[in-house]
Formats: sequence, structure tokens, C-alpha cells
Amino acid sequence: MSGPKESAASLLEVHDLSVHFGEAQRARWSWWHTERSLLRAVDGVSLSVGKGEIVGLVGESGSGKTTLGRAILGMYPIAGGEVLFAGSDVSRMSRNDRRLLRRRMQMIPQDAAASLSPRFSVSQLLTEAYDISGTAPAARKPTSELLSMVELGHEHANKYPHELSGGQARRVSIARALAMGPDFIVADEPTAGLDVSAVATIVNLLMRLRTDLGLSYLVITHDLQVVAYLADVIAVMYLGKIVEIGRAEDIIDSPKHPYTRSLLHSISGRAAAERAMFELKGEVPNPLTPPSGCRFHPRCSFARPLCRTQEPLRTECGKNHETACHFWNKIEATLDPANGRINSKENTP
Amino acid sequence: MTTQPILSVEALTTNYRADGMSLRGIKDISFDLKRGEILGIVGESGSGKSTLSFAISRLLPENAQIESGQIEFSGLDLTIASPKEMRRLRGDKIAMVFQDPLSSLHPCLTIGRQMVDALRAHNSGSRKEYQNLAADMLARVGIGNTGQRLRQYPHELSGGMRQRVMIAIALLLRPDLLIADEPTSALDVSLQGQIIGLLAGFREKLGTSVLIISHDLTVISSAADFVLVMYAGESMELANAEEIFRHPLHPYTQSLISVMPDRRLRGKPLPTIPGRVPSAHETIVGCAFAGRCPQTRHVCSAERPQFSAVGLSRVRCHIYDPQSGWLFDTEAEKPAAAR
Repeated sequence: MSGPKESAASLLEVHDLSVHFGEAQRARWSWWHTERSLLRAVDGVSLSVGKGEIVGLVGESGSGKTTLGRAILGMYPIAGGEVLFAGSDVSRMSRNDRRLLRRRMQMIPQDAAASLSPRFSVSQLLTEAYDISGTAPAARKPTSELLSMVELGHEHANKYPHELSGGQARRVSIARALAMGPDFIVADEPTAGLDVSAVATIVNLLMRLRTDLGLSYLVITHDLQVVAYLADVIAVMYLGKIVEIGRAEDIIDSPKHPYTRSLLHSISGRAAAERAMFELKGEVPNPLTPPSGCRFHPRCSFARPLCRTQEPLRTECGKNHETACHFWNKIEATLDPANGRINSKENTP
Repeated sequence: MTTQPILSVEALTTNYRADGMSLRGIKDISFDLKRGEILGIVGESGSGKSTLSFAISRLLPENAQIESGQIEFSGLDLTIASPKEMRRLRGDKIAMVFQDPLSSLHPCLTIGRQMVDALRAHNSGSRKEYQNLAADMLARVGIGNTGQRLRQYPHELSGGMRQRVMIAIALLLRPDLLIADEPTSALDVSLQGQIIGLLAGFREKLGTSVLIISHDLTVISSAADFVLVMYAGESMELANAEEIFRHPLHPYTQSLISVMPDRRLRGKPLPTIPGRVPSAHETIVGCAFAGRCPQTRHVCSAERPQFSAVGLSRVRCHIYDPQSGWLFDTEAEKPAAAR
């Protein structure tokens, strides 16, 4: 398993990736949006996913999580940086090569029910990818096998999406992603909108598929409880940047960035005084006009003048643990170490 | 705080017609809500929690009806109130906040217009006066720059802001009861805390009683004084919010808590609740949870358990039944017909 520093055995490596929106629109709609600036949805992000590893990407809506996931799959043009999958550069690949590579990288889309065509039966939905890619009949997995991989009975094959429950629709989406036999899956909010009991079954399914098929995942979610259970590595995004990345237990037990601390404090079980200090005030600022310096400074209770002017770089703050905050060690020193984390568990050096 | 309940729901049962059949809605729901109290209602989808809120505000869809039971609100039985009386109560004494603020706000009217309209529907005063009231309320829900906000349309506001506007409109007329149906489900975790804090704050300042409906036990436990757990239209457990997390009594509540992803279980599969919620078409003879319950016995699928008091809580489970229960009994199973 690799943290941000080790990358030798990585399946996916993202270096300094940027995705910008708005330039094309500015040219086309100049009469209307005269001063429309560039939206830097993803701004210089680096991370890696090792073989069989689960990386959790967390952040509030508008932080660029989904954009990053889609850019990794080559679904958005890249403004800068590179995406290396199994050693080859996805962003500079010919259309044909990318099509072939795409079989190894799949996506479980955000809104499972809405992403399934209402006019296709489940078996049609599951064979669609084979038809598009022109897979030979012998190489296709039978529908019943795909269904049983996601623990659905054969009787669902002839159903239409409206006949499925939320959890079942989610399973069909997962089966669709599995059809091409991928190595890597971007799962965008795989548990959002499900009942607690259904969340547990989907999470168990994702874990089992990883063991059985050796899959790697990038799990995009705002559910910290899910990510704390599921992920090996957690990356925290805020306004297009990764503000903290590290092994899941380090992020959860000893978060360094004030934003990560705030997010974790929004899960219950923290002391009231602590909670007040880290309660997130206001909302994510407009990404078109991000704050100067550290993008989190307007909402940070520890912000100093330096934070307004200078952008913090990602620095090492522990083994395989990086954060982008000028004052992370000072903040940690001010806080009683026993209170600064969820459980007052002893920290391993 | 007085001890007189502001809202008292007694054995409330609803049904609805579909496919020419009468189907089960909520069954035999009872609870009291005192002034300034927050009651959280938790349940999975299809448990009837929204039906309960619509029944209280008498906004059930046309094919649904209240079959029996009483809803006493400030001394008035809402089950027999006329539509005219209900119209007067809604907005004024009973206010509602819904899950999706974008579809509950009128897209073509400014925030200010919608707030003033709410005031004008129940009062006679000058527009100027109302605009000041509206601006004041926006400021109280944490929206700055109120003059400009009042002139904006819903689409110009962010999701969290819209939900604040919904709460501001609901609180404008200082209602005695606020029903919030999944008020934070569409929001980010950081905003959930803010909105819940806001609701709790108004309870302190205005003495508003609040009914919060959510599928998220975490949200409920941080906000509510009491929690009612619903399953398949029935009340399973009613208990103090802290107590229900620490010592859940009903096996269903225990399952709900145990299936929440817990990092201490990393590497091990999460516990799940086998089976599924019985559909409205199925007739439930015994306990609604019997088919999925890890502690089920013969009596569970044969006889409907009472909503009996255990300490300060109430539980609908045979384990805790004063006569046939096996709470303190470690021997072999008692015969089903003990009573």
C-alpha cells in the first residue's frame, strides 16, 4: 500500500493535475460574460493509487472531487499535469489507445438510478458495454454471472430500472462497471442516498470485490464514516486542491489540517468546546473567485496574515502524511493532544 | 417549560388506496411533544416517517386518509379540523421545512416577496414593516447582506442558503410547532451541523417545539431530546436521545446502530440487516421486524407486541413485554401463549 510518497508499485499516478472550465465559454459568450474568469475545478492535484488499494477522496460539494475522478478517466480535457495508468499517460494517448485502456478503468456513477437508461432492461444494460466495444461472444461474461457477482438474483435480468430499489440500482451500476473486467474503479458517492442497512451491504460488496478481483478504487464520498471504514488512504479536497493526504488511520486519528479537523468534528462524538473551535462557519466560497493565499483561510479559526497572502504547499507532517497548512504544527502544539483526535488513542511514532 | 404537551398524537393510524386495495400507512403511533422540545423521528425509507408528518399537518395525498386516532394540537383535534381551520394553522402555528429547498421555493419570485407573502397570508400590516421583519429573520438564520438577498431569486443562492431561507420563512410567524422533514439530507456534513444548530437555537430563543424527521441517526441524536424509531409504519422505540444511542432496547434500533460503518471494524465485513422491509401489501400479524430480527421467537410472528414502558423508554418488542417477555429470563423459551 502506498502513501503519497511511495509510488513505485502504483497502478494510477496523478501528477499536478489541473482541470479548468470556462475558457471556451468565455469565447462563445463574450457578449454576456465579459469578465467571466477561469474556474479551476482541479488545481494541481497529485495522488497515487496502488494495486488493490482503496483511496478515499473526501470534501464538501464544490471541492472538485467528481471532476478529479472524471478527469482521471479521461472524461474531461486536462489543463495541466498528467495521469499515468499502469505506466502510460492517459492524457496524451490516442483516442484508440484510450478506448482500449478505458476497459481497465471504470466508473460507478454518482446517481445510480438516473444513470441507468429507463428503456433498457437490466440484461441490456449489462451487455451494452460489450456491444459498444465489440467484445466477441466468447469473451463476454454471462448476465447471470455479472448479477451474481453483485449478489443479485437471476430474476432481475429482465427488470427495468424503475422496478429496482435504490440499493439494487446501485448493484446494477457496479455490475456494469465490472463487465469489462477492470483493474481500477472510480466510485462516485457509492452510498449516497441509501438507507443505513443498504449502505452496509454496498460497502461490504465493494470490499469483497476488491478481495476477489484484486480491484483498486478511488472512492469519492462526503460520508466520513464510510471512508474511515473503507479506505486505506484518505485525500481531503478543498476548492480544487488536496489539503491533506495520508493513511486513513493517521487522517482519522491525528488530522493535521484545520479543515480536516473540522470535517471530522462534524461527525458526532466530540467534546462541545472542541466542536465550537472547529465548527465550519459559512459555506465553500465561489470557486470562480477563490480566496487568496490559503483557500481555506476565510473559514479557518487559526488564520494569520500569512494565510491571506501566501499559499501553503503540501509538506510532510508524518510518515506518508502530507498537509498544506502553514501552521499545522503550531495548531497541534496549542491543542491538548488528547483532545485533538477522535479517540484519545496513543499515537504510534 | 410547561409540562402540558403542545402536540399529542394518540394511536394514529392511516391507510391509503392503491390498485383498488386499502394499504397500510402508519399504524398506532402515539407520542407527546412538549413546548420547546425536539423530537426526532428516524426510520429507513418506507417506514412511514413522512406519512406521519403529512398526517399531522393534514397534507396527506388524496388517496390517503386518517383511519383512526387523534392529533391534539394546542387543545384542538386536528383530525377533525376543517380545511379552513387547517389553512389558518399551517404557516402560522404549524410550520414546515422540507427536504429539497429548491423545489419548495417558488423559482420566479424573489426571496423577499416569498417571505412577505407568508406574513401577509396571516396578518395585516404594511409591506415595509414586513420587509423589515423578513430582513431581521434572514439575519437570525445567519444570512448576511439581507437587503440584497431579499431581492435575489432562489437559483441565485447556494443549497445551504436556500435551506436557511426555508427555515426563515417557516419561523417568520413564530410557529409553536416546526416540522422539519429531512432538513439536512441534501446538505454537506459541515452544513448539517449548522442547520441543526440553528433549529436548536430557535427552540431556546422562541420556545418552538420541533419535529425532525431523518433517516440519519447521527443527525437526530445530536439535535433531538427524544427519538422515535419507526419501522414499517409502526413505532418501535421511543427514548431519550442519549439513551437510545448508549442503550438501544429494540433489536431493530440495535441493528440500525450496528450497521453504521465503524472504523473499528476495518477489514471485517460490516454487520447487515438480512431480509427487507415488508411492503405495504403484506399483512403483518406479529411484530413487523420479526422476519429480520436476530432474537426472534415463536411469539414474535404470532402476536403483535405492545408499546410497553421500560424505564423511561417505550418499546414495541416481546422481549420487554411485562407478562410474556424474556428480558430477565435466561431459561428456555416461554410458550407463545403465556398470557
